[in-house]
Amino acid sequence: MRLNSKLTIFALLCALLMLASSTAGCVNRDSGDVQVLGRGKGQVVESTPTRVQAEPESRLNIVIARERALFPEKADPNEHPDVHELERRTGLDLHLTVHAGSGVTEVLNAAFSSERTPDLIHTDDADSVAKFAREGLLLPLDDLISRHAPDLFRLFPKEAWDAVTLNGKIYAVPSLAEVPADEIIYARKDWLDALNLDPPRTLEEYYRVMRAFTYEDPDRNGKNDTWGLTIMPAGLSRTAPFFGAFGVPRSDHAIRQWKLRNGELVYSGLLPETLEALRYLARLYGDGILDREFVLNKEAVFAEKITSGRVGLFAARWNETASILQDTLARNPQAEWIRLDYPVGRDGQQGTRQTDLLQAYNVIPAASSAAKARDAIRLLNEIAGPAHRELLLAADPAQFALQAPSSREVVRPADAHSSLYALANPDDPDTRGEWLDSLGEQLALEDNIGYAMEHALHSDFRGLPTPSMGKYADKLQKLEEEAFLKLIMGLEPRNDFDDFTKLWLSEGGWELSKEVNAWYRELGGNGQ
Amino acid sequence: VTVKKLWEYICKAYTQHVQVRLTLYFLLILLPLVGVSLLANYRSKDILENQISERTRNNLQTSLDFIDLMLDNLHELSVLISTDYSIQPVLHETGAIPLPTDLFQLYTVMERLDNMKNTHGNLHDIAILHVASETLISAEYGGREIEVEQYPWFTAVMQANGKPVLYMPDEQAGEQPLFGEDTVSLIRLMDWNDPDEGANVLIMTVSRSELEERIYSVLPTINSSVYLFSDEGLLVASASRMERVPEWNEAWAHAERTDDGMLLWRVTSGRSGWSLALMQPEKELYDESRNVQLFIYLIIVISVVLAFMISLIVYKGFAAPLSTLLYGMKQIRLGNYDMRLPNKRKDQLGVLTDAFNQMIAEQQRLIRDVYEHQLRLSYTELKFLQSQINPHFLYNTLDSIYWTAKNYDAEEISEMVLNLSKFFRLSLSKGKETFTVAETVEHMRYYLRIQQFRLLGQLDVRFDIAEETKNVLVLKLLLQPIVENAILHGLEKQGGGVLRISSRMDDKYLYLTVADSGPGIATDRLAYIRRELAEFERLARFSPVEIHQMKDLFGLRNVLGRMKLYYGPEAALEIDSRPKAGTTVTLRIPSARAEVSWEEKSA
Repeated sequence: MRLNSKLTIFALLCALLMLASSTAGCVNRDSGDVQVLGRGKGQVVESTPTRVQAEPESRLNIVIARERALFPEKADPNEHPDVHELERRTGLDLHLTVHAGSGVTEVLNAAFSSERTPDLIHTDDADSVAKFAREGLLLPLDDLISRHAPDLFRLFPKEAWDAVTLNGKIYAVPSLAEVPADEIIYARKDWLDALNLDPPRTLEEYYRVMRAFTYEDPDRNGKNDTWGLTIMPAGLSRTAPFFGAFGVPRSDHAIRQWKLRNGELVYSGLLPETLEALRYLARLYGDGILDREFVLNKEAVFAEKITSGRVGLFAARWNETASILQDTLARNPQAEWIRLDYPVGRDGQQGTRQTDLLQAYNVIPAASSAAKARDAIRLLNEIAGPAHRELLLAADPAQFALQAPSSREVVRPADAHSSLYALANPDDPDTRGEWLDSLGEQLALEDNIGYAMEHALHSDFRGLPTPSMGKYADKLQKLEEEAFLKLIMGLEPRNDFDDFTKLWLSEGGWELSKEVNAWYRELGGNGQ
Repeated sequence: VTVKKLWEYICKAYTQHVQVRLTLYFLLILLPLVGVSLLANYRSKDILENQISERTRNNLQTSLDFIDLMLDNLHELSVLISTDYSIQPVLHETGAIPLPTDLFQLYTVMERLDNMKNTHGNLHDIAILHVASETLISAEYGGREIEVEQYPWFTAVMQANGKPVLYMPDEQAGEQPLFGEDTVSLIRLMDWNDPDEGANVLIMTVSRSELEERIYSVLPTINSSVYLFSDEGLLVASASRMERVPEWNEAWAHAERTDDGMLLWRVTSGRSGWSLALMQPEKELYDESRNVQLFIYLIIVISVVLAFMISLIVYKGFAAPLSTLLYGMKQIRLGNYDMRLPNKRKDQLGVLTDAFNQMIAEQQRLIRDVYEHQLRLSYTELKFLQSQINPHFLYNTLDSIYWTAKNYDAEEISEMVLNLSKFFRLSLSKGKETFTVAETVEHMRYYLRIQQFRLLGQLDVRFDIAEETKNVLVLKLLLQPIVENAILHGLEKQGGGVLRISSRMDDKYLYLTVADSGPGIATDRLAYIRRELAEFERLARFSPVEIHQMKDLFGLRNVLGRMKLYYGPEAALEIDSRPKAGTTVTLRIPSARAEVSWEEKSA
């Protein structure tokens, strides 16, 4: 009896409980979202102001805005192990806002016009840096560096500091290009052998070899299907060693290449030597030695022409020993490449282009507090100094279209790389050598770059971009490109170069010349 | 037949078992609830299906609108390029072997295409095939000479008469991807208004990943996949979050679901004729609702089980006390009035059981009251009998007789009267009910002394009283009728003999024995006596028997009756007799009750 009544009560309770829980479940499920939403909203409203106020002292807001991505796509930079490692080393709480690709200028403008300017800005937009510096939006760094990170003066060469100096004050901590000089001439050794030719040295020898490559059927296939040389129409790249033979410096941003003539800086594109160099190339084109359709070249077609064995000589980029050269061998096992010495000009001149000395700039907004500015400088010192080797060796080789050999010390999955070293890349030849070797010694990267650096021609203008540079550079560059292409292709005979000079000066070049010379005079007339 | 049998069985169970009926009622209550939940279940599934279907179609339509927009843009772009005055004349002027001037002009065209490509972010490449020189000028890859006839798309475009042709390089078949790997190209003649006037070809290329990215957003779940088809039904792109997108099967073109449990939706754009198909595992779609469904089924099962359980429990709660009551009633019928039903219930059934117990108690009390009333009656009667003779009158008379006999020197008479007087004195003994065995024997001596006078000394009396019995109390006048019988029916008839009175005791009983050396009782007479006494004993168990109404054996009945009354059913009277040898009567008295007097008991 007792047991039964207990059982009954238990069963009834069970039934009630089930009913209650099921209805409760329904109710919860229905109202659950709303509840969470409501609570969430409340929390946000409450916590937003406190969070803003309670920003820790050690927090450093950094904006990184540059075309090249320093972090793997789709990864949160703030969670990247390299960033955590830097935080550990410096004791700072880094907060990164990263922008990669085009539209860098807009990002920078937004950063400066926002209420809370970042504590540190890293960018490759030299024009904007110069503009902000002139507008007084940037903090002069001389005192900060000498007080908190004097090592930085040792880690970067004087030229680099010149390039970030305006009116005698340093406005940025530079980041040097990984590779300071580029364009190495490679020729088909098997073709030279087949034609019984020695590697050329002078411009004339070069002409003879290229001519032979064109007309003497170096591949012995019985067809007239080879060229002595091909170049790129865009920016007339892959021509630097030929301009170098006339003493004319070239670079990615040709507008920054100026030469001292009679106490004045003259734009390299207007030098008479440039015209000589163009005439040399025009001769090659006119004689059918230079690829007839070079003007339609893009990187893909350019590479295709070389790897397919239709061109016997070209100016390779430093990393193309891993791509074009190897692809040629893959398609034709008989092929053999040889690095040539840069052609020597009439006056014994010889050289190649330097890459832009700086790849990027680190600036601190003038509104920054002393403590934050100090932290930012210390962070840069850490990146350029003690952490440099580790960061560089861990960087992603894919950014240079290279692969990390399996023998490499630090092997990471592709999406785990960062290029944090590029925030402040110092002049450190030993580490650079180690890094280049780590990418594969058979690629001769270090040797080639060393050779190119020895022969790099330098501009006599080394300052921050002048205001007009940002304004006119694109237009003038295009103007120059078309004029030079036409000259090479022999489309506009006679006073063509003079016409170009006039046009160039009238389209903004005159302003440019004035500004550049003003910089030179400010330096005390001593650009050396 | 089995159904009919089953039906009969159920009917029988229904009519005969309360439990079955109860269970059925519970199930009946559940029936509408189960029906409603099943209906809700079915309806919700239906609604879900419709909603998902609609949502999916909307999503597909939105995505398809984007594709349409892209196609429109491509169309506009193609018009723009075809009518561009910096492009068209260059192409017309350039001959089969372009002069350097032409090459430079083509370079400017290429630059222009590059600009257009950059302003149209989703384009992978824009290219123009200059048919006369067989030069393909691509914004992405540069200018190169190709043998147009070897490309099937070229003939297709020429035959399409100005209509755009979709071209996807079949890389598995070893086709060289001219416009980039994994791309989709829209190819059309540039001067479709005037096809004779030079037939240059415009190629606009979109990377397939771009398309995939656009349709990717419609994927509702991980295991679904989406397919984009051109107006001609060609599979252009497919996307899925799975590692590999399931291969599209042509048989699915118009199906709504596949054989392997996949649901298919397909939306076709009215504008471009392109279509999107989404494939999603049916299982996944109903995953969430299936949980609810399972839950409902579980509830139903639990409810049914509960219905059975509760009906069982309720039944047990009613039936068990009822059967206990039934048992109790049976016991009453068998005369077991001492029985009480256990009861711990507090409800109505508990009250009923209590009432039943009280009823039995009442019954028992009533029975005992009547019984005891009868007993008391008998006792009163006995008292009355004993007091019929006024003892003082008797004593005085006997005293007078004694003194008169003394006067006449009749010694024997005086002694007899003296003994008789003592016998009576003891017999009456002022209401005292019990005497010790020693006193009883003393009493017997007076009586036997008188009898000895009567039988002129022929009576030889011997006593054999065990020492431990002497102080045991026994009911008075038990032995007298027996002794009287022994003398009257035994020894007197043969003019004398030996009379033996003895007592002994064991653990349980006190035995008083009277043996005579008379002629004994005839066998049939003995049997008759025993039978009568057994019958008397049986009757006396339930109600006191009026001894007066009996025709004979008064003395024995009297003794037996009183013993039973006083000592309970264990007391017994045994008669043994052998002809010519004598008769022995033994009284067996439970020793445990021998010392309790009647007065104490009735008090």
